[in-house]
This record gives sequence, C-alpha cells and structure tokens, in this order.
Amino acid sequence: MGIKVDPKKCVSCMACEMACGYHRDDGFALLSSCIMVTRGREKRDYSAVVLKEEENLVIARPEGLEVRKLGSGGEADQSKGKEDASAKPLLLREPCDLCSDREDGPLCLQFCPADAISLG
Amino acid sequence: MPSSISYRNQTSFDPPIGIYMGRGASHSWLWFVEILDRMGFYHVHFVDEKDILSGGLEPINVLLMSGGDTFAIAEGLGAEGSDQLRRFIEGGGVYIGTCAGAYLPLRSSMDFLNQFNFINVKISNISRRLSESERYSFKRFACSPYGCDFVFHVVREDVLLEMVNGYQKDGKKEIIAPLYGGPSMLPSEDIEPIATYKGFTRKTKFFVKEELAEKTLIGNIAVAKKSMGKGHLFIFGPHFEHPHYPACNLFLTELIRKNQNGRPHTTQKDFSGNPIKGEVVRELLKDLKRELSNARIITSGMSDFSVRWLIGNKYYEPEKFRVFLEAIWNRLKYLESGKEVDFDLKDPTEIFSQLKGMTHLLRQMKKGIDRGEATHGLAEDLFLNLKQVTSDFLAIYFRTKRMESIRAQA
Amino acid sequence: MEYLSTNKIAIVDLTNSKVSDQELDKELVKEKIGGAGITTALYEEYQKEDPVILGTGLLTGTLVPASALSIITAKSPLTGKVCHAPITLYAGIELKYSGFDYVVIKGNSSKPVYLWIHDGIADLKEANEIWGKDVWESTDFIRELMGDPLIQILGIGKGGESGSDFGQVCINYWASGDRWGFGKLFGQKKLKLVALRGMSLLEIADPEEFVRECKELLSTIKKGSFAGKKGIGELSAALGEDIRKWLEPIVHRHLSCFNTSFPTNTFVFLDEEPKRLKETDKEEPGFLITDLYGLLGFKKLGLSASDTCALLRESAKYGMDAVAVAELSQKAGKKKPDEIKKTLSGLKGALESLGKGKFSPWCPSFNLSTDEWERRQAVAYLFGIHPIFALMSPELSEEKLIELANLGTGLAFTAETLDKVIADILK
Repeated sequence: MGIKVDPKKCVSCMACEMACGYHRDDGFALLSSCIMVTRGREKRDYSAVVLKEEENLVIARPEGLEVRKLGSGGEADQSKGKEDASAKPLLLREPCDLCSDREDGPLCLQFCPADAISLG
Repeated sequence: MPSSISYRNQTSFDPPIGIYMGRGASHSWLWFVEILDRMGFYHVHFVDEKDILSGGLEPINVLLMSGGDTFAIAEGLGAEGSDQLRRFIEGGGVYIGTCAGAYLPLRSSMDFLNQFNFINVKISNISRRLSESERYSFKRFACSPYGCDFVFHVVREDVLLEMVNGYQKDGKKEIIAPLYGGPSMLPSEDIEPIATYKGFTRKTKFFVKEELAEKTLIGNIAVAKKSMGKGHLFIFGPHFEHPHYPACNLFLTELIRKNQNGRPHTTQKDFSGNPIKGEVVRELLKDLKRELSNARIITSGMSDFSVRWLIGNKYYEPEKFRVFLEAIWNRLKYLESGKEVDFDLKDPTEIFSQLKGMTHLLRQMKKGIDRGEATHGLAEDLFLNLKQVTSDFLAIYFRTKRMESIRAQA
Repeated sequence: MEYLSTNKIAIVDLTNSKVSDQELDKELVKEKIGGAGITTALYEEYQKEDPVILGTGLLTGTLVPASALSIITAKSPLTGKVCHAPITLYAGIELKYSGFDYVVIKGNSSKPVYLWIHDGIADLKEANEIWGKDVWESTDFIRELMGDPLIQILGIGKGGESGSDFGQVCINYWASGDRWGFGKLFGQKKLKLVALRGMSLLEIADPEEFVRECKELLSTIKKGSFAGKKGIGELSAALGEDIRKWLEPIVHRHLSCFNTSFPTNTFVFLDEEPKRLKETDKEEPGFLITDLYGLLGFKKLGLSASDTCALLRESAKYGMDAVAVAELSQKAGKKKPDEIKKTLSGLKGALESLGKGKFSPWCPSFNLSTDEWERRQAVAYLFGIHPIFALMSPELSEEKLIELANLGTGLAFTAETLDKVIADILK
C-alpha cells in the first residue's frame, strides 16, 4: 500500500506538498514534505511529482513512472541500483509514513483538488 | 517527529567532549551535536585529523567518533594519530565509536586500519565466514570491500538489542536501535559485552533471508566496552546517537556521565569571556544569516534528485549538503535571541567570509550542473568547507550556550 | 503577530538605499485584518514618499483553498487612485515564506536596483546588469545568479523602464493582473524587480481544527459547478465566450496557482508539439496564459490562437499590459502580428477597459453587480484568496473565511470587523 500519483491529472498546485509539510511540522512549511511538485522547468512547462518512500524515490513524470532505489550506489565500486546498507538517513525529508498517525489517512490525498493522488 | 526530550536540568557538570568531524566523517557527527545540545552538554570541541595530530585530544575527556568511511579516517590519522588516540584513552579518556567509529579500533590486517588494533575481536559480518553461495549472493549488494574479503550487511534500520552484564535502560533490558552498516562482534575475552543483537522489528529491512540475518547477528555483540589504561572504549554497532531514538540517546549520555573518573575533569574555561554585544553582534548575525540563506537557497535549487557526486567512497546528493546548512540555520535563531555571542575568533567576520566563499562555490556548482559540466571537484571542496564552517559555527554556538549556562548557575 | 504570519514588515527606502524591518503589530491585524486592509494603512502612513506596498493576505500560503494571493498596492499612474493588483501563481505565497508579511518600498533610487528578499532578509542590490533586459532575460539572470529556479520574481521590462503608462509588473515570465501601470511606477523608482525566496514556517493557533475546516471546505468546493473543469478556455466559456475549439489545438497543460482547485492558467506550446509529454529540449517552447482579457483582446482582432499567444509572449517579455496593446492596436486598425509587435515601444492612448475601482479588472465580473463584485474582491484581497476563484466558489463565504481566520490566528474577527475594513478600503 502506498501513495500513487497520476501526473496527468496534477495541476501543480502544491497543495499536497503543503499538506505533507503540515503533517511533518504542525505548521505551514515546505521543507520537510516527502511529496514535492518539481517546478524548476517553468519556461518549458515540465513538471513531475516526486515522492520519497522508505526505500524508493518515486518520480511520477507525465511520460511515465520512474522508481529509483534510495541510497543506491553508496560504495564506490558498486554499480547503479545497488543498495548502500551503511547510508545514514539525512533526517530532512522523512520518507512517506502514509500519515499513519491520522485516522483519515494521508493528508496529501485529502488536499489534492484534482484527485491526482490515490492509495494503491 | 524528532523527540523533544531534554536532560538539561540533570546535568551537574559538563565534561569536555570532542566530536570528530575530519577526514572520512560523514554527516552523522551532527547527530552527536543534536543530542549533546538537547541533553545540556555544552562543553563541546570539534576535532579533525590535524587537531588530533597536534594535541587536540588534550583538553577533552570524551571523543565521539561517528559514521563515515573507516579507511579514510584511519588513513587521515595514520600511525601518529593512532598513538595520540592510545595515549588519550590510556590517560583516562573515553572513546565512543559508532559504526565507522566502531570498526576503527577493531583488530585488522588492512593497511592503515592495522595501526588501530586496540581491540582483539572478530566480527561476524565478514565474508570469510560465509559459504561460497552466500559469498556470491552478497557480492551483488550490501557489502564493502575489505582486502580479500568484504564486510557485508544483512539488515538495515531497526534492530532489537538485549542489554547484558547488568547494563539496562530504565530497568528494561531490551532497546531498539538503528543499524546502518555497523559491526556485529563475536564474543572475545578482550571485551565486555554491553548489548547483544536479540531480534528484529517491523522496521527492520532485510537484505538477505531472515535465517541468514539471524545467523549473522543474533546472539552476537552489538555494543561492547574495553578498558585500556585508565580509560575505556565503547563500541556501538548501531547508531545510538540517532536523534530519533531517545532511549538510545539517554543510554549514551549516561555512559558519558558515568565514565568521568579516569581523567581529571578540566576546569579550563572554553569560552573567551569577552563576548560581542549590542548592535555589532546583531549586524554580524544578520550578515551570517544572509549568507546562510543564500547558500541554503542554492541547495534547494539543486534538490531535484538529478545530480550526485562521489566523494571518497561515498555518494553525496545535494540534500546531504543541506543537512549541514540546516544544522547551522536551526541554531542561528538561538544566537539571534540573545544579546551576546562568544565568537572568540581573531576576526569575528571570519566565519562570515567562510560562508560567503561557500555560497560562491555552491553558485559555481549550480551553474556547472545547469550547463552539464563536471562539478565533482567543486563538490569535494564544498564538502570540506561545509564541515569546517559548520563546526566553526557550532563551536561558537556551544561556547555561547556554555557561557550563559555558567552565568546562570553563578 | 504570532500565527499565520512572519511577524515582519520590511521598510525599503530607495532614496537612501536603507532597509529596515519592524514587527507586525497584532493590533493592526485586529483592526485591518490583512492584505488590502493593511497595505492601504501602510500606504497612508508612507504616502508622502509615493510608496509601493507588497502585502500578503491573512490566510495566504495555508491549506485554505485558493490561498494563493498577495497584492501590490500603490497609486496607479493610469488612474491616479490608490489601487490593488493581484500577485498569483506561486509568487503570492513566496512573499510570505520569504519572511515578510508586508514590504514598503518608498522613495526613488538614483540608479537601477533590485530587491532580493530571502528568509527574512531584504537586500537592495545594484541592477545595472539587468536594466534594459526584457522580463524573461531578467528572470533567467536572477535565477542563475542566485542559483535557484524557484525564486519568484515581480519585475518589469522595457515597458516599465521607458515610462509607458501600460508598463506591467510581471510575475516571473508571465503577465500579471497589474492593469494599473505599476510597471511604470517601478520604472520611475528605478526598481527593476523584486526577487522572492524563503523557507519560513507559519504557526497556527489551532492547527488540527484549522486543517479539519480547510479539508471540509475543499470537499464542498470539489462538488461545486467548476468541478473537473480546467483552464482558461473553460473559464472563458463560463463567462459566455467559448474559445475552447480555437485554443485547444495548442494547449499543452493547465496549471493552478498555489492550492487553487481550478487551474486558471493554460500553457500553450507554440514551437513544440502541444501533446508532447516528455520534457522538450527547446528553451522557450510556448507561453503560460494567465490573463483572459489579453487573450480575448488579440482574438478579437481576428488572429489565430498561435499568433495571439505569440503576441501575449512578446507583450510579457516587453513587460506591457496585453489588454492595452490589443485595445490600442484595434483602435489604430492594426491587425497583423508584426504591426502590433512594433507598437509595444512607445504605445500611447486612452483605454476604454481601464479599471474604474480599486481592484484590478483582470478578474472577470461573473455577471455580478459592481457593488457585489467589489465586495467579493475586497474579501479576496483581505484574506489572500485567488480573486477569480473567489468568484467561482461561493463556498468560500465570508463567514467561513472569518471562522478560518479566527482558528488560524486565535483572534476574534467578526462580520462587523469585515464590514468596517471593506468600507475603509473601498472609500
């Protein structure tokens, strides 16, 4: 069970990011959100939704989903995709916990105005 | 959410503690910073390999060595560093090593590491103990080369430990701690076990079948003590300093508190007693905040997960740089809220210049990334600068806190 | 001011290049609520120095649906009245997260400058390198210089620099709701742009209840008449002018302003296949339509959707109000794109579409009476609600917004407070 994002429905409003930030910080802020709308390619109108899970970084791109193993390639002689057992967490953006302490479930899903987020 | 436990009121004295942040250290030394700050230990020094070689262990009672690249740490310290470390411990010092800091003093025949054979103990997570088929499966993941062998890791995240030999935490014998590549030690007459690996939890992440994980870890030693001269080494496989594990943090700080008999407690003042005040300090802090903000904004601009750099043996992503900047940023507010800051630098604007240089490096890197140029060299410089400026700032922060704490007690 | 606020006002004196800051007095918030209420009060306080006031709404940058808005308040060079223009997209919330609820920019600089507002610091910097550049070039320059593509920019192009009455303060690369010639005012002050970026945290007086109410409000809004609809074409159709077929072939995507359910902005691809999903390698493939009346203005000249959007892009690069460009081109009988483009430099004339009141006519009337429209705009400009969405969603009622304001701030606003503040800002 995890968060699923349909990037074609997403309107890049950042409500999910703010909802997640609230879940982490009990206030409004964006620094700790584990779901992020990439906005850096504004002139090209290219955007994706990035979700940090326990083990994966899920990048929901309009053209398809990309899943990257987190902490992969930690040792110099390892090839891409290998896991680094000794990688220490950075504790900045904690992985998605599906808002496990909330009865109603994930906040990002509840605040998405475009129904682009679901559980699956 | 990070725990908000505070132990400040229970600190009756403040032993001088050194945190190693030099060559080979990753970012987890900042976890020690976090828990010491939270628990009210303000007499904190930051030492790198050069400090250790030039008598930097002299003023401290405890040395904290966290995670990173064991080989790089050993190479940086060399034989002379090993001698300094031995003298420090035998003279009554306490060495606390977690993960890479735990591997460092264990017996080894590898170059550089073989200069630190302080503890005669074998580890269970070394490939020579595996069958051929097991060796083969590990070679594909979760291992670090170690001469002809390799060190392998069977799980990650939470493990359940059992305290032994009368050690306990609040009357409980079990404790959950996070493991990120730390050692599992086999019984040896040279060490006193403090905790053994007992089992796994729902948050344990397995790299292998549970049976092999059990075979490698369960019953073996996770935390151990070795006495050397008047001092002690405490070796932690799991990261007891991880700030989200308050029970582990308390155990660790109690250990520090209880082991202050071997070395005379220094009464040396570690702050200048001549803090900067008024408008001057406000302007200095504003300058610092300005540069820090500029730097963290650039790192936020790089955080789209498309870039990373290989530094030493480890990969670094922009978020890792941000960890250091946030460690400063989160403590700047404290200094802003006071009226005085103990900069204790020949030139108080030095740290501001360091930050400015770092912002410059970051901007060069960002430009390079945007243009598809190689930025590895810049990243290496940046990481060194970041560690230095962060520890310089934190030294100012702790000195100011200690000054205020002593004044309050007086 | 403790909650939903950074508690800071920046005072920027362009005449002597001095920047200072002061706390946001809670009593002022109790009396004037926020947004246009406080920017008007600040304007009055500093009016001798012809100030431009940037201000956030009381609820800007929160989980309240459509809380995307900040505003610019100043005396319009076009109408001579103190007016308010909307700051939308992500720039509205960036102002608050950059560490200031309000920014007073007073006096005139003798040399080109820009204002860099970041994490509670306001730095006035020389702008010699960007003075003379168009809006797009300036935005690129600042983002590259500071190293962050997420920096939000309120800036002018040659329109504002040259003193055109129709010079607009644009948002990043795009047109804004500045229909008051505030771009000219920036130009007169030698203020090229304001760059915003910050990572503040806003605390909430009653967080759980506030967020629960926001969630309920959103679920009501999602059942409203605009549910499932997107983009400027749908907006136009709802107002009685159906341009969907005309525009659809070049539509790439629809984008919302921060936390706004209905995307009022539509990105069109002009030099790239519109249905392309993968990132294009073209640097400038199209344009984000943020201003319905600019679009309709050029369409009225009989232009194709592509030519229309290309002219919108040129207007935005030049930093000119596209509505004025279209209307004056029509009056002059100019209907060819090249001819129209040439009018950008030195455009002059009287506009029929000039705003009559305090709030930007960028927001359609939705068949409301002038009084109803003005009151609804006032509410949006006080609380920081997207002005167009405020009219599309009656669910964002005055009662609900007051309730949320009280939960969020711990203050006790009433309908009477709101009536009084609206009367003050409309007078």
